[in-house]
Amino acid sequence: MNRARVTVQGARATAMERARQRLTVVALLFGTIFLVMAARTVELGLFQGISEPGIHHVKAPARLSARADIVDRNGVVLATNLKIESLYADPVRVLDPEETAQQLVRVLPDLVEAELVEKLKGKRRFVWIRRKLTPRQVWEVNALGLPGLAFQEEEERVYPQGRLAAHVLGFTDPDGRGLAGVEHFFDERLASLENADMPLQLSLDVRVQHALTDEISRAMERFSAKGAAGLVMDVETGELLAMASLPDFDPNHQAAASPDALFNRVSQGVYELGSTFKAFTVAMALEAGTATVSSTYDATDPIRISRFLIRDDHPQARVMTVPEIFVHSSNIGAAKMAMEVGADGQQAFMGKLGLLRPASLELTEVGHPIVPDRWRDIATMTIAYGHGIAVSPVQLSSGLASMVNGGHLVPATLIRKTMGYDNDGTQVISAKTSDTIRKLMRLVVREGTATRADVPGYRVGGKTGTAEKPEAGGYAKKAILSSFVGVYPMDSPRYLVFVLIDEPKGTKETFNFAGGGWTAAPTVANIILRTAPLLGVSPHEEDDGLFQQAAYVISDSRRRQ
Amino acid sequence: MRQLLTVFAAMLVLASAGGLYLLKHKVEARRDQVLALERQIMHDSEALRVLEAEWAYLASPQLVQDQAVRYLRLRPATPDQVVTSLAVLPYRLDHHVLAAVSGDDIQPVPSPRSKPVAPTRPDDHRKADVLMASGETTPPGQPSVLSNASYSLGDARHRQPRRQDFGARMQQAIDRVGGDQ
Repeated sequence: MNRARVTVQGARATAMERARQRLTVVALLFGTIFLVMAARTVELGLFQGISEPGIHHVKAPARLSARADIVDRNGVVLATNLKIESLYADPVRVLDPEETAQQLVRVLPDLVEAELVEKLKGKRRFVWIRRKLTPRQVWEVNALGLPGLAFQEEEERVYPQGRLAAHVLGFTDPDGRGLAGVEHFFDERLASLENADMPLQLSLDVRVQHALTDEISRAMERFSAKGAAGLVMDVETGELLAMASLPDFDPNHQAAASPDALFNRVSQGVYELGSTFKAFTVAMALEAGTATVSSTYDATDPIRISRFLIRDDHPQARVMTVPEIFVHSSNIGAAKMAMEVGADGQQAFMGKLGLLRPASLELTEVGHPIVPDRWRDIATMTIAYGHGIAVSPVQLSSGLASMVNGGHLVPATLIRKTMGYDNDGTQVISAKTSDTIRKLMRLVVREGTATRADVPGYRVGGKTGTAEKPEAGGYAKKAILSSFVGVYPMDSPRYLVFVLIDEPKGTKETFNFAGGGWTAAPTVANIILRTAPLLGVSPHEEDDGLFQQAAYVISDSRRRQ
Repeated sequence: MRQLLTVFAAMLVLASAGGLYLLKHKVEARRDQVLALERQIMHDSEALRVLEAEWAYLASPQLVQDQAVRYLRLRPATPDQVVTSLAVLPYRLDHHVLAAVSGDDIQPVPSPRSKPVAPTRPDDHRKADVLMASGETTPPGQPSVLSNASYSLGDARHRQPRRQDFGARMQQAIDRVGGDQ
């Protein structure tokens, strides 16, 4: 009995002991899990609450319009996307078609009432009444409080400056894809979502752009020209502050523009630009060492080569020094200078200046230069004074900027360079040669072919170009391209102004002359007059000593005669 | 002890449930508020874009030029009018000097279309004006303070206008009246 009890007790005790042990294990297990959960809860609640993925971040889409704005160098809006409301009607819900039409016509006067009534009486559930209303018109339609009318929001690319810089900006199709200008070149950048809030900043300055456009359009009108083009460039950075081509178009209504208006004469058109090339010829000869400032060339007789005759437009018919050849724009002298350097040397020099390949401008509309297939002697001679080679005004301007800025060629750009950019120009001529070219260009304006380009106080220098337009089998005598490239201030050049006038006709004031010195040069003078105060160039008396050396050479040779 | 723990746990559950409920409502209200704000910001920024575009249009150089030609009598500045040296700017004089200087000494009216170089003597002033009036630089339709007929060129008192900057002239005027500077 006792033994049995002990056994029973023993058995029970063992079972209870085991149960207790199991319970303890389970309790410990649960306890640990709950502790971990508690600790995690506290951690989440107190320390990681903000980054909890479950929190719903209310983030409305930043903007419907994905395309980025385009602004000028000072942040003035050149192109932007706006929500435009278009008015439509649901005729079933229109109570009184006649009354509705009558009131709508009062607000939107260009609608025809009869047509509108017809539309509103129809059975369709959706009819457009008018696309693209101004905010004011939207407000007025809403104020009418008519039932059955509603607005549909649409995106539209708007160019608030109108025609200004149209060729630079280009335009987009109705779906917002860039079709021309920087709109096309930077289409991906402008359309990408992450850049939507970062405007594309161009190097243009709307004030300079307007002054340029205004002046060349006046010149075009005054000389009854077919077209005109111009640009203003910073010679140190290669930034284009303005670039205009006339006739132009309104990018807001580009569908109406003619192909001629869409054509960009500054970057797309390639022209034989004439005597402005003599700056390259002189620099080349000075660099090659075949000529010095006091070298002389006999320009008495025209050069006859194969079937061509090279003559001077301003014949002096005498032996001339290098500055005189440049100042009086002697074709004979320039041709002889180029022949001394040779065809290979000239080709290499032109290549170095980037005149033999398309300009690296940020536009799709960039013309390919026309250069001779084989660089014969006749080509060397004509290229010396800018015939037989056709380049775009942008190429010419970059090349000339490198002639005056100390000799480094900086590619032209339409994108604003930030302060402290690295000067990535390549040295093409020595600083000494560049200095000589500056003085020569100043002399052209002081006493050469471009005295009308002078602006008191701004020390303008430059070179005229008058080129006969090529036509079938030769050159047209009557149709000319007049150009002038001006640089100022000449003692430390900062800006280059180029103007090209396509087929100007002489007027009474110009004594029927239509050359670059009579048409383009005064236009450049006006542009400088208007833009120099905007660009922070202060007028002051010029240091005559700077130009005396070159001037002496001229007077010396005059005395010797 | 055990009962107390149970009661405490039950109360904790009730309290946290109630707290959570309140919190949820608060969060929802806040979320609605944020959404409304976001919508407002979107709306405003869109309006801002419209205004910026309108401003760019209204301030575009062509429009400003048209308005200026129509309503203003201003003409483009010439390089002559740009002041590049502080010496041509008038001094600001103390009261007692101003009181001592006779009226003739101060003629601060610059002639139109010329660099602001103020004369100290009335003779200089008028002489310069007559020269101005006889030149072509006088714009038509300007009020003719310039061509003062009572001062003929033959007047013996006239001297050549001295090309001196204003600072030097003012200094002379001060010396003459004995300003104690």
